[in-house]
Amino acid sequence: MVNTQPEFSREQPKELIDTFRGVHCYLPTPFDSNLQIDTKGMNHNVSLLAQNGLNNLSFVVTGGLGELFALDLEEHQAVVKAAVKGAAGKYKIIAGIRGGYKFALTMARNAEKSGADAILIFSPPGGPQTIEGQERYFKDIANSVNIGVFVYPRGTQKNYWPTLIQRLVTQPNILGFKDGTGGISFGRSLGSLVRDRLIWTARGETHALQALTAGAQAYATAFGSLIPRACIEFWKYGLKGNIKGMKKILSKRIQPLEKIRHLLPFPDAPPGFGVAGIKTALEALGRAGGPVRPPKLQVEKKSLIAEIAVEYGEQL
Amino acid sequence: MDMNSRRNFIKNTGLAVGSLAVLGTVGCKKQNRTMAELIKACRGVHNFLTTPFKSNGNLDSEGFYKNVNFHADRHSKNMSIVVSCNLGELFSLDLEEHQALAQAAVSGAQGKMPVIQGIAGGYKLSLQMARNAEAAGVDALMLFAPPHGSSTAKGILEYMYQVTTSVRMGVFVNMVHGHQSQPVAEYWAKVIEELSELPNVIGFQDSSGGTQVGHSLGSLIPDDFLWIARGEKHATQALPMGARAYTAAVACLVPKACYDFWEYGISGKIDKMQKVLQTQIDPMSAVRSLRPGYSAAGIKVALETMGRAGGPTRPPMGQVLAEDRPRISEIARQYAEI
Repeated sequence: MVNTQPEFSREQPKELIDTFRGVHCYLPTPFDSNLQIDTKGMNHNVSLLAQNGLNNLSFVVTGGLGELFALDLEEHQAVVKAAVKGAAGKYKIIAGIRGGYKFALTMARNAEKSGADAILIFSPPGGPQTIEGQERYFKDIANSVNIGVFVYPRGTQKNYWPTLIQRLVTQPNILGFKDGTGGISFGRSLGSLVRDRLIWTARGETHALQALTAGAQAYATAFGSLIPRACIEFWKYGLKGNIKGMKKILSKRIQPLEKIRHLLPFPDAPPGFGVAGIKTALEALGRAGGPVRPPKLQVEKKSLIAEIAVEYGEQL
Repeated sequence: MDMNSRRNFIKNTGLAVGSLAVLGTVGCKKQNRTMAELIKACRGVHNFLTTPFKSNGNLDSEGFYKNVNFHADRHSKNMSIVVSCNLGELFSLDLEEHQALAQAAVSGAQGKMPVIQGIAGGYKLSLQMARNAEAAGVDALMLFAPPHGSSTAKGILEYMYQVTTSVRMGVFVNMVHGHQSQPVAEYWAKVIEELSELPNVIGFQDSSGGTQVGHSLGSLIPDDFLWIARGEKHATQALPMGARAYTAAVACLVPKACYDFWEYGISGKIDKMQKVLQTQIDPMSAVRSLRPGYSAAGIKVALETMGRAGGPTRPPMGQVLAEDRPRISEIARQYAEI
């Protein structure tokens, strides 16, 4: 169904994956007060981060934190373009891709046209799904572009993760996966594959605490836009197996800021529901944030979040 | 409708009153039905149709038109046509395909059956799909919960409110997320109860598998709000308790049996429901369960056997293996109604 032939060879990924090792800094998508995307704001936010000469940092735009699920195709493309422009070639841009088959294929091609260095394909919606069906979905989308691909699978079938990842690795431009298992046994079981061929990306600091010392080469964080240096130090300690160093950074610099994601005053707010908190913190630091789109909820304790952001956010 | 309650709803969601004032006066655009008449028209079997694709994976809208027309010409009594929901691979369609399906369904139904269309995909996409469906002449939307599971009841309420108030047509609320989250009855009872105050929200598809959400709606059930059971197993409980419609995946193959099952259900004749289920519906449903992943693909092969449009499924839905096709065809020939 998909005709584009990627130019990736089996030898290329090793060099390419090195460039994506490090902190995967997830960025929110700024909206204006009418809930329209604020591309100037996105450009500004990325530019500021890109001016700091930090290493081992990639930006993930239009991911879960970037309200990917609330964007249409045109908005998605505009946000990716703004981020690419803001990064000015200094940092890798990974664009989140979602939706059903046709929608995701279009998003992937648009991301490539907009200059993204890689895409992160979220698990397809709907169901019931088979591992074979997911394999086709991820491979067809990966095969439709000539840039790097990370996958973010989700499934509960027996042997889901090992079966799917072993099959996907035959697609040359699939460079890694975001680990949704929350553990380390699966990543560890991949052995040399996660050293030489795939980037195992831990999901958040808690997971990274275990996974970076067990073979993961990258980790996804929601706080990279606010405290990029702390996140990079945390990652470096992780790669060296220095858990004490990781814990120190975590408790002194990351966890105090983490509070902004859990201040929503709704009893049924699930843990981690805090896109609005990050946006409010960015605004407190003079950057673009704005409201969130439904079904995400707006922050009601803005002043408290602003205080935390000003106290713990890093100056760029 | 209790205006104090409606005001509370508006206050709770922090949204404008103006749009509700407009909605309060609308009738259903198509055939100038009122919402009450539309609720009545949607009682019965909700015939969830698969979306036919050609061998190259492209949409077969002509085939879909013929599949819908098949029912309009034969058994349309108490049947609603449900287009592009989970079984119809809603999550694999782009906006143009979604609208083409709506047009084909409305045309094929010839005004004899209400057409309901699935809407999903997040804030901006759902708003666009809803407007397109309305423009195509669809009678009601089946609005799925927003994708990416970690939503609060308040967030879902606001999302559904905004999509619902963007159109003037009927809306059914679907408790299923785009990411298969398991619905929580308490959480959904609150959302649906609040949404039921909007004039064009006319019912809900109950994916809880139980009867708690239906019961929580009190006197709105059964006549003023349509409680739709999900599948035959749930319908066996819910139809005798006040649900007045149910979703059927094999109504495209055994429409009369599904109608009988429904009619027995609303009359409380459980023994007769069970008999139809065991002798006609379950044997036909076997095409969906020969292997995991056949839920849509098995039906498509059965439809092809019966001379109707089917075709392949799109990833990540499963395909029928060549070795299983003869068995599915055999089942279709034995049990499908001609």
